[in-house]
Amino acid sequence: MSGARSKLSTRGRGLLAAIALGLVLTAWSSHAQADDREERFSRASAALDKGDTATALLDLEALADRGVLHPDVAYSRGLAYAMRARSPSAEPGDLGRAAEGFEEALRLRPDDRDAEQALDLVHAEVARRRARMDKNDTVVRPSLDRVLVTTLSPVAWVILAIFASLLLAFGLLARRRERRFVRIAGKVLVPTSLVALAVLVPAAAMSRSLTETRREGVVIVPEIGMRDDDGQPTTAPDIPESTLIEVGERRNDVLLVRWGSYEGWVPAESVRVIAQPHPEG
Amino acid sequence: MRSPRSSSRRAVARVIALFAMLFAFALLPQFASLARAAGGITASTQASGTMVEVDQPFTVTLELDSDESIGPVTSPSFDPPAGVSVRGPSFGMSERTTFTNGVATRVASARISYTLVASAPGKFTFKSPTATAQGRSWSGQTVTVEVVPQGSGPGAGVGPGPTPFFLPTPGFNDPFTSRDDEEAPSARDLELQNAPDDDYFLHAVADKQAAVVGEQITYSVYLYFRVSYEMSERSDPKYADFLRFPILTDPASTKSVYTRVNDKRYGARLVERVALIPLNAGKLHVGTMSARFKGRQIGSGVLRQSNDVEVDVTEPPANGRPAGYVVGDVGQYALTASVSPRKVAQGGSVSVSVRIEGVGNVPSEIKPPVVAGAEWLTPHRKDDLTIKDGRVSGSRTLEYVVRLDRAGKLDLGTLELPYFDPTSNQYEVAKVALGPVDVDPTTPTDADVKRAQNKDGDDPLARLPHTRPRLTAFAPARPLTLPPWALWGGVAVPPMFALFLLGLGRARRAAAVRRGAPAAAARAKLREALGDAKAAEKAADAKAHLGAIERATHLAIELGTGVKSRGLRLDEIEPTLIERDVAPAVAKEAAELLSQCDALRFAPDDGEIATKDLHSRAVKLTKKLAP
Repeated sequence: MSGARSKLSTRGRGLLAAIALGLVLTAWSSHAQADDREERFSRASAALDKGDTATALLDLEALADRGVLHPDVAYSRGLAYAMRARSPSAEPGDLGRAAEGFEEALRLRPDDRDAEQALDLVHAEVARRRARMDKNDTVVRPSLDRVLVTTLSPVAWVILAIFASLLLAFGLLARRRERRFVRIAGKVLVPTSLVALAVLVPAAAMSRSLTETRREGVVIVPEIGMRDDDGQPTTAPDIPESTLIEVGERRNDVLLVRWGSYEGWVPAESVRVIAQPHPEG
Repeated sequence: MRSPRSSSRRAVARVIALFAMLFAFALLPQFASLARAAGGITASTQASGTMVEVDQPFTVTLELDSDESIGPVTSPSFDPPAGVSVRGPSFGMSERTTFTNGVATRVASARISYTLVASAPGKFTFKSPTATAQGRSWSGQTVTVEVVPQGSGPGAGVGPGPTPFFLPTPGFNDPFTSRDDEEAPSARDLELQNAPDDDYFLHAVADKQAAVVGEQITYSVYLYFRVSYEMSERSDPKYADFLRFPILTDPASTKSVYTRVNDKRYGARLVERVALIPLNAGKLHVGTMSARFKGRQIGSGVLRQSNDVEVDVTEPPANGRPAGYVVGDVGQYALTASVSPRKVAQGGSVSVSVRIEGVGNVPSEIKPPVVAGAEWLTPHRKDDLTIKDGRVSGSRTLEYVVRLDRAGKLDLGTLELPYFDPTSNQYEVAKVALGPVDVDPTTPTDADVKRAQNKDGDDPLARLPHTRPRLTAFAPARPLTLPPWALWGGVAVPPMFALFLLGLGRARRAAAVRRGAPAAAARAKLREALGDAKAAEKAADAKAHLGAIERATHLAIELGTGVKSRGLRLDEIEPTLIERDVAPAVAKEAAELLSQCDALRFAPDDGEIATKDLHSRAVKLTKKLAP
C-alpha cells in the first residue's frame, strides 16, 4: 500500500516537474523572442542613424514577417523606406512602402504625431514627383456608403440596432396598455423604431461584412490601373503610389480593390496590405 | 366580214379570259397550299455529293416537309450497303414561312441525316432512310454516290459549310473544292500526324520551343475541320508569365488552306496569332484556347480546347554579360539622343531626348550616366510599338530634364543600353554620346543663397522625423467583435418576444371565454362601469355619470339573471325580472332607476343632485342583483 502511494507520488512529482519544465521553457522562449525583437529593432535603428537603410530594412522586414505588430517597428520601417527613396539606391515603390509603414503605425497608435507628419511628407513627395511627370491626379473621395458605415465601429452599429429593436418591442407592448400616455408613447415608438431598424440593420450588416472581407492596403508601385472581371482596363484613373485603398478578395495574382467609388482588380504585388491586430471575441 | 357585235363579244371574252388568268394566278399559292395540305408530308432523300473519295465522309439525308406541324419523328432506320460504315442519325427540325402575293406559306421540315464513309471505291446505290411521322412510315427516293480512290475525287464530300462567327469570308478559299493550296508550303507545314478529334479541333503551335527571357515567341492557334461548323464563345489562353502583343487583329482576314492530318483531308484556318514575350525563366505554359462549336454533324455547343504549349525559357547566358544588363532586354536596338539647348546658365536645365528603337520588346528604361553637377529628373516616356512582319518592333522615347548645377563645359557622358541579340546569340551594347553643354556661371541671388543654405527646402523627405532608438511599451488594442448571430438575434428577439407576450395575453383571454368565464368578464365590466361612474361623478360630468350608472345597472341585471335588459323596453324590465325570480322590490327599483336615468338625460339642470342619489342607489342595486 505504501509502495503504491510512493509510486503515485513519484508519478505526481514527475507530472509536476514536466509541467514546471514546460512553463519554464515557454517563459524562456517568450523572453528570448522579446529579446530578439528588441535586439533586431535596436540594430535597425542604429543602421538607420548611419543611413544604412538596407541593413535596417532587413531587420525591420524580418520583424514584420514574424508578425510583430508594434507602432515603432512600423514607423521605423516607413522611415527606412522613405530614407531609401531619397537615396541613390532608391527603388520603385519605396514611397508606397514608406506610406504603408506609417499608416500601420497610425492604425496601431493613432496619436503618433511623428508617423502622421512623416506620412504627410511622403504624400507630398509623391505629389511632387508626379507633378514633375505632368501627372494630373484625380481627387477621389470615398463613396457615401463607406463614409456612413465607417463612422461607427461594427459593434456600435450592432448595439444601436439592438437598442432600436428593444424600443420596437417596448412600443408593441405599450400600444396595448390602458394608460393613455403609455399608449401614445407606444404608437410613436413603433414606426420610429421600425425606421431606425431599416437604417441600422443594413448598416450593421455592411459594417460587419466590410470588417470581415475588406482590409486596408497601400499602393506600392508608381501607379496602377484597375481592370474589370474580364481583365480589361476600367475607366477608373490610375491609382498613384502611397494611396490608401480598400482591399478585397484575392484571385490568383490579382486583388479586388476599391478606391473611392471605383472598384477593380490590380496585380497583388502592387499593393501591401496593412497588418492589423487580431480581433477579440 | 365580222359584225361589230361579234367583235365586241370577242373583246369581252378576251377581257374575261384575262381576268380569269389573273385570278387563277393569284389563287395558285392557295391551290399549292391546298394540294400540300391534301398530300400531308412529302419525303425526299439527298446525298451531300455524287462523287466522294474513299474514307471521305458524306451524308445521306431524308427530309420530310409539311405545311403543318410534322410532330414527333420516330423509328429512323437506314440500311447501307456492304463496305460503307454509317454514323448517326442526327435530327434537325425547322420551320420557315414565305410570303407570295401576300399569302403566307408555312413549311415545317424534319431532316434525318446519316454520315457515311466508304472503305472501297465503287458505285453505291443507297435506299432512302426511313422514319415514322404522323403514324406512318416515310421514305424518299434512292440515291447513288460514286466512291473513287483517295486523291482522285473532286472533294465534294462534306464541305466546310457555314463559317465561324467571325467569318463570312470574302474570297473564302474552300479547301474541298480547290486543290491549289495543297502544294502551298503553309499547307504542308500544317500537316499533322494525329488528330485529337475526327472532324474538327483546335491546334496551338509556337514558333520556338526554347527562348530567353524577353525574346519574342510567336504563338498561333489553327482550327482544323472537315465538317460544317459554327464557332462561338471563344476563350483565349491566359498567357500568364508573358507579355502579349496581338498579331492577328482581324480573324476574318485569314483564309482556310487545305492540309492533311493522319493522311486525311482537312481544312485549316488561323484563328489566333500573338507575339509573346516571356517575363520569367522556367518551363512556361501559354495556356489553352477554347471555343464552342455547332453544326449538323457536330451537335450544339460542343466545347473544344487547344493543346497547351510549353516553352522552355532561360535567362541569357551569364558569360559575356555586360555590366548594367537588365534581364529581358532582348532584341536588336539602336540609341539616338538629342540635347537642347547646348548652352545654359548655372542652375538651369537642358532637355535630353533619348530614342530607343529596334526589333523586340523595346526597353522602357535606361540608366542615365552619372556626371557630377548634372541631376537627371524622372523622364517622361512615349511608346510607339507595333507589329511589323510578325515581329514586335518600334521605339520608346524618354524625355529627360537634366538640371545642371556646375559651371563650365559639362560633358553629359554616354548613354549605354546593353542587350542580348538572340539572332547572333551574343550581347551587344548600343551607345550614344550626349556631348558637352556649356554652363555659364551666374552670380547667386539672395534666393539662390537661401536655397543653397537650405538645400533640401524643396524636398519634403528632408524633413522626416527622427528615428526611434528602442521599442516603447505598447499593448495592441484588439478590436472587439460580436458573434455573427448577435446582430440578427439581438434585433429579432425583442420584437418577437413582445409579439409572443401579446399573443399569449390574447390567447389567455380567449381561453377564459371558452372556459365559460363570461361571468367573470361581465363582473369585471361591472366593476369598470362603477369605476367610470365614480370618475364621472368626480369630474362632474353628468352625462357620463348617467351613462355609466345605466351601463352598470344593465350589467348587474345580465350578471344576476342572464337577461340582456338593453334589448327590452323600460316597461318590460320589471315583469321580466320578476319572471326570473328577482324580488319584486328589486325588480321595481331596477326599472325605476333605469327610467330615471333615461329621463335625466333630457333634464341636465337637475342632473348633479339627481345623479348623486342615483349613484348610491345603483351601487346598492347592483349588490342586490349580482351579489
